[in-house]
Amino acid sequence: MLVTLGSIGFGLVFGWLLGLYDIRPEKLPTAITALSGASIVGAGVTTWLGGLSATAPFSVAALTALWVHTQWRSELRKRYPKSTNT
Amino acid sequence: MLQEAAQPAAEVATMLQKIGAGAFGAVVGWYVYYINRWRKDDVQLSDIVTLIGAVGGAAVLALFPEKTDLFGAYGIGLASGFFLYFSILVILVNKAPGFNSGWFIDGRGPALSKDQAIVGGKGMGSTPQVED
Repeated sequence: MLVTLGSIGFGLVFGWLLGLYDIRPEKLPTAITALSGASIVGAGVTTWLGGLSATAPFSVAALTALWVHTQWRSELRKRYPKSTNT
Repeated sequence: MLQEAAQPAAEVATMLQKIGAGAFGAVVGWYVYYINRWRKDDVQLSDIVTLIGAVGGAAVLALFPEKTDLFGAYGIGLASGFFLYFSILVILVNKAPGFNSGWFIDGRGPALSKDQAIVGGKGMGSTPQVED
């Protein structure tokens, strides 16, 4: 139980951090490769320390946090457009 | 019976170890958000790699034995510290006069008056504007 909760917590932080990065179209292949690599490393660490059963909660939590963070930032960008007088 | 005796006993973490791992996670989580909050520019890929290395890097692999509850306690502490910092930041940003959630996008805030100056770091990639 503790391991499952821990892998959820680990996944939430992991997904939130991945959501910080704004993917630009001109750097799409590099970004996808790097973010996929980071995700594989995260899942690997979870599997190593928490066992195979911890990978699913980690992945679900990471994807949820990534989605929530991306949506939140996109909503903020719509609500507060970039200032043009700088 | 003999087979059972031959197998090594699974490592069981004590309560004190779990509390320690949780507290360690909370400090790491808090500090990871702190580093993110004080970054000076837009997020680069290398920043993400660095932060991810901090939360799940070699130190974590070396500290916690495999398949023990210590990793669970660390993960719970990590999320608590990280999201506690974030929650406090959301409250403070929304309560501070002249600030709004737009600060989370590019660090925008109210312009400085003539008798004010930046004396410390600047958060979230902000470029301070001085009011003329």
